Amino acid sequence: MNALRLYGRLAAASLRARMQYKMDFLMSTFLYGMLTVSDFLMLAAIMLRFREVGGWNIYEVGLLYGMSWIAMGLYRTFAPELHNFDRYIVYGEFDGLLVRPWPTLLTLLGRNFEPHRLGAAVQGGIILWISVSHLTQAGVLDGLDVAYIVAASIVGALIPFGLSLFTATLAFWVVRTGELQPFTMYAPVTASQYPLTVYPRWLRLLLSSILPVAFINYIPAQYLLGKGGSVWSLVAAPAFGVAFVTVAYAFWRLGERHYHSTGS
Amino acid sequence: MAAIVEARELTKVFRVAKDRRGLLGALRGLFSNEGRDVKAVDRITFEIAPGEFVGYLGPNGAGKSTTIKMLTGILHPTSGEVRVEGKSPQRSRKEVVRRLGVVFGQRTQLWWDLPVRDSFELLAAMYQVKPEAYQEILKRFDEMLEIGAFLDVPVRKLSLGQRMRADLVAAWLHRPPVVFLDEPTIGLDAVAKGRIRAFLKEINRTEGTTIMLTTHDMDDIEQLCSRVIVINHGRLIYDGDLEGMRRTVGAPSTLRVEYTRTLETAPRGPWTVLAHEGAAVTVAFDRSQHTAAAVIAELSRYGELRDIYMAEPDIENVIERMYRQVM
Repeated sequence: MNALRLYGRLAAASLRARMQYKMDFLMSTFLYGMLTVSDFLMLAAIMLRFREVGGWNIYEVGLLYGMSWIAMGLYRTFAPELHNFDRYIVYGEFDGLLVRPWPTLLTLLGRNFEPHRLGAAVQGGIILWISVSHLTQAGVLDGLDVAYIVAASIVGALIPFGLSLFTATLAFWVVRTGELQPFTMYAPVTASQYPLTVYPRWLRLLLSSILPVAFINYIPAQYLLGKGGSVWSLVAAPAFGVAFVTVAYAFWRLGERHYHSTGS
Repeated sequence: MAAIVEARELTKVFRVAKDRRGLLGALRGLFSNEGRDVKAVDRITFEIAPGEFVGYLGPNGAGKSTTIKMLTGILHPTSGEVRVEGKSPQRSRKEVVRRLGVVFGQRTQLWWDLPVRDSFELLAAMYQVKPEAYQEILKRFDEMLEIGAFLDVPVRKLSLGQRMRADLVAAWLHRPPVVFLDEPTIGLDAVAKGRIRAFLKEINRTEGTTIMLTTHDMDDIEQLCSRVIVINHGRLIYDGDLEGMRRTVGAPSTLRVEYTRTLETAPRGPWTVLAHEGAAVTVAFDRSQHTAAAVIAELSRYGELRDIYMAEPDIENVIERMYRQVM
């Protein structure tokens, strides 16, 4: 049995477990949907008021927004357990993952699969579709560009995943890290919904280096929209995502060896 | 025969952070490396042959769980080495744990919100157990542990005894040659304990599974283990059979009896009187010299007995006594 099939079985089991609490499941799905909508209304309000943000028009910002939401939605669907990972260290539950003959990250992610989070990706997809059709009609983008944008949005999930994996791994040393996730992952990803040009220079640097959310959307979009950058940025974005997660995973493996478990 | 589990000079040192007061102290603690080292396991060496049933004993905090966690690849030793079937569970974790079973009595390995059957099926998939083999082993375990009745009940609704039975089946589904059991009878009533002991005895005999068990229950040891290893303060203090351990310690048992009438003087016999108050008498005797029945018979010569209460030698006491003798 390969890893993907095992993940599928574990994910299905976690979903069945969630369904045991029907009200809770329906409520959280509903609340999450509301949250997504209100977040979008906020952006819409800003865009309708100003028409332009940091030199980007409403459709160009919509492109960034859509890509960011697709990436984030995918991350939150497949890897929400990373957010709760410090619990496994605090209560010694990581023991249970280490005694199974599979990579711990695989069995960890299999413990929680939240398909209702795909709602965010779907909403991002709708915004992206509206924006892209306008930009295509205006002759800014062609069919190949659009195909690239869709693929890059999906690969973009590697960035929040890598950020979250880095943060979770810190728990092997400092135990409590749940409170760090908003700073290292949620806030930067939210920042990626707007063009980097609206931020001060130090923040732009931060968002394209240590917290590299610019690689989700801004870096390739800038080139495709003719706002600078080189053709290499199209390769750099996915390549960086893969490299980032590879390094984060190496860090995870290091943390695994450092695991202290808890007393009896 | 070649050893199936080996520990050589196994040592684990934990660094305990210096306790600091206040917010400033906590902040400083984040960046400083101050603290003291605690040796949880200190140069322990032993070998276990295939098919052995070994009891691993020691008081709370002696380093039992830490040892088990190193043997199963959960923790990395500070120094020394572990070999299971000749391989290091640290260096080849996935390869080694594929052939291990582990049960932590205090924590279930099953999916809490799902029926027991779902957990078994997920584990069978994880260990690549073939469907026919899975059905066969499930049937066999149902005969031994009667798990059929609650296969479709979510784990969170099981009684502690049922949950432990399910956890044992889960550990044996892939027919591992070695199983580690950490306190498998903790918190269970006598009937549930008896059933689990019968299962362990049977599976050790028929499957030849090598079993290492930690427990606080002297009866677990007496009924199951052909060999005991005792540690205290992280050090190995005894490795041998149960008889040898008894001889070293003298295994004192206490017996409290109540007579139907008040005794003027304490009864005399091959025991030490610990307490005498009215009709109640408590004596301590050496189990390796006298049987409980003989002591009761002797005591009843002093009057009619109304009640008898037998206290087993508490394992903590036995080990504490042993430790003092060895030192």
